[in-house]
Amino acid sequence: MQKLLVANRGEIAVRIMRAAHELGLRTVAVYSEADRDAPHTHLADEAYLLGPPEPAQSYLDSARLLDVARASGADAVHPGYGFLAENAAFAEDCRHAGLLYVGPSVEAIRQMGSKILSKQIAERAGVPIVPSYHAPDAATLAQEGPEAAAHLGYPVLVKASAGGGGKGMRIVERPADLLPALEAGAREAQQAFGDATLMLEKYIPNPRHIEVQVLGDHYGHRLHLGERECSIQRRHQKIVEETPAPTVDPALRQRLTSAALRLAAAVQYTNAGTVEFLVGADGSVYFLEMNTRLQVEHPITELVTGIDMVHQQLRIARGEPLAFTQEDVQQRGHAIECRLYAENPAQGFLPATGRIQVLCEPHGPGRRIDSGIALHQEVTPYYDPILAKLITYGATRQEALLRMQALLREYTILGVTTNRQFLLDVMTSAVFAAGETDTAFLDRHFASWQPAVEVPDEVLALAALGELVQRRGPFLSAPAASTSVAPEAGLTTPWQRYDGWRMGGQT
Amino acid sequence: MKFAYRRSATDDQVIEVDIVPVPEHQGSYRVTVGEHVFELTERLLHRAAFYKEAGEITLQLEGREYRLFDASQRRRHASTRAGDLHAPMAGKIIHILVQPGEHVKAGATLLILEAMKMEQHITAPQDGVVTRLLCRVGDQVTAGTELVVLEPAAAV
Repeated sequence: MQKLLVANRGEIAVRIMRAAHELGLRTVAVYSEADRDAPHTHLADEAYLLGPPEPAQSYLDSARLLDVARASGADAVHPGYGFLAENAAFAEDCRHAGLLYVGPSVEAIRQMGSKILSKQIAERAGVPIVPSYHAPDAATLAQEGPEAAAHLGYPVLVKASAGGGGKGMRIVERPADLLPALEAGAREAQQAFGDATLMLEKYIPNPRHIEVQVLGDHYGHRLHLGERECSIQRRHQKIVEETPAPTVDPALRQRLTSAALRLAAAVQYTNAGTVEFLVGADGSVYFLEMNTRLQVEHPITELVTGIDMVHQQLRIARGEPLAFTQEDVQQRGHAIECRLYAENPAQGFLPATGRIQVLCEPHGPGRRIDSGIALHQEVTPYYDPILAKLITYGATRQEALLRMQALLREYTILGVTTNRQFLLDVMTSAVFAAGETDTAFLDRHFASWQPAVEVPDEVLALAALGELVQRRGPFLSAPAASTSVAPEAGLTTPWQRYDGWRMGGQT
Repeated sequence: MKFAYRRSATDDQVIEVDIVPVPEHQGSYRVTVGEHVFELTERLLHRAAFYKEAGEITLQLEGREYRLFDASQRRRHASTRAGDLHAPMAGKIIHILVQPGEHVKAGATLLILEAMKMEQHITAPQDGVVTRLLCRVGDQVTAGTELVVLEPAAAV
């Protein structure tokens, strides 16, 4: 392996390219017309235009990606997450083209990519599964679905057979809502995964979502890197993850990790993968799915284990055996990740677009920011709205949490609406501090969340000052602005109100 | 120097803000907001973030984000006027389920907007008649674009 094509964009493309450079590889970026000036495009040693912004004509165009691999002389492909990351046909095309695919075998992607087959395999491997119903095609599903749903018992979940990330997924409470949900789900599934096949599943109310990271090499060594608690979700997509899971005791951890390794062994899993479980309020464990790729939230595992997952992926792909054993893997401390999205939490988490006009990503001890954005970049409506991942580490959960609160307070992004303040309010809530996280957490505690609506007089005063200074000349508005203003004589605080108001004080 | 702000784009109330330099302290200003008087220094701006575009100011201070509006710009129409349905986000119109003249019930899906692989259903806020369709399937629209006009049932 000499030259790696990264078939992705945004923060994950940046993350993978950096790891590849660290291992002495050259990198090839691909980009759409919307990403000409994106950080990942500039970071790679070479960059090739794929086509128009629409994913189908750019990051999902596997023929074009293989052309670029050939033209650039790349000998390996990393798919990242999303796009073609769990597409067995793409992995197979890469291998036929003589490229090393950084991921598991085509067979494992195919087996775990099918919600039906993956559960059959899990069941055979002694891993418990959620009761479900599968139909061979849409017509059969429409015909038999109502009876099958009644048999499973409402509420039932409608899911895309082909994908993850909540795309095409719907909870159906009543029989009358089933057929409309099947139609809408099929449309979304077709669009997101190019496959409209759906399935029905018994809905487990308010479970916790806990997953286990596994790694396997080509010599039959497989091990786990512990669990991640990923219950805090909106629209069935994770926004906060942490490890270790506050609610998992050693006995439950043992059950989860051994089940994950049994499944990985059943498909002779190689490279990095994640086995996702639902954990019921009673401690019952159900296999949900296996993601046959690098996971968005992999950094928290890296922080507590000290293992660079992308390094491991590249080493495994180029045929190296794992250099450590299960006993060598020790978890130390606690890590939390918050996903910064371009979206409006006060309006149903609808995606937001716009140009990034102010950006400050404040680094420091115990903080890691995996970012794929730059100042003045346009956030377009074409892709997943993730902007950056904010990750903190601490010796204890409390320390990691304090660092996350500070990081979210200092992180500054203006010009596009983000969920930053929402995440800050979640991270400073008593319910998160208590570790009371299940998949209904946001609905229960933050359903009617609004940003601070009333603008205080102090902020109006500050706005006037901002305008005045901006009119006068060059003005750096980000807090990280390096030009410092000399301390003014006679004033000890930047704000002084005659009736005693002080900045940052609540009194 | 005088500025005038609204606390929201549709707010009637205009707040006058007067800012004057404090001669004895360079970089220091006395700011009057209503009956409150503040003394501010420019140093504060380096601890905050400020951005203004098209009469809308966004400020981040102590981790909180605030929006306010330049009152010298025309007040925006309150979007509460019954009948107008706007795109809540930028995206592509992928389905139109109604035709002009069609009677719809409250909650009925009128059209579907898609962005970032996510579908957003635009639904009727009340019973009524679709009087105008202002978009076509395949249109790429920006947030706030008027998509359809629905005449409330009471008015028909």
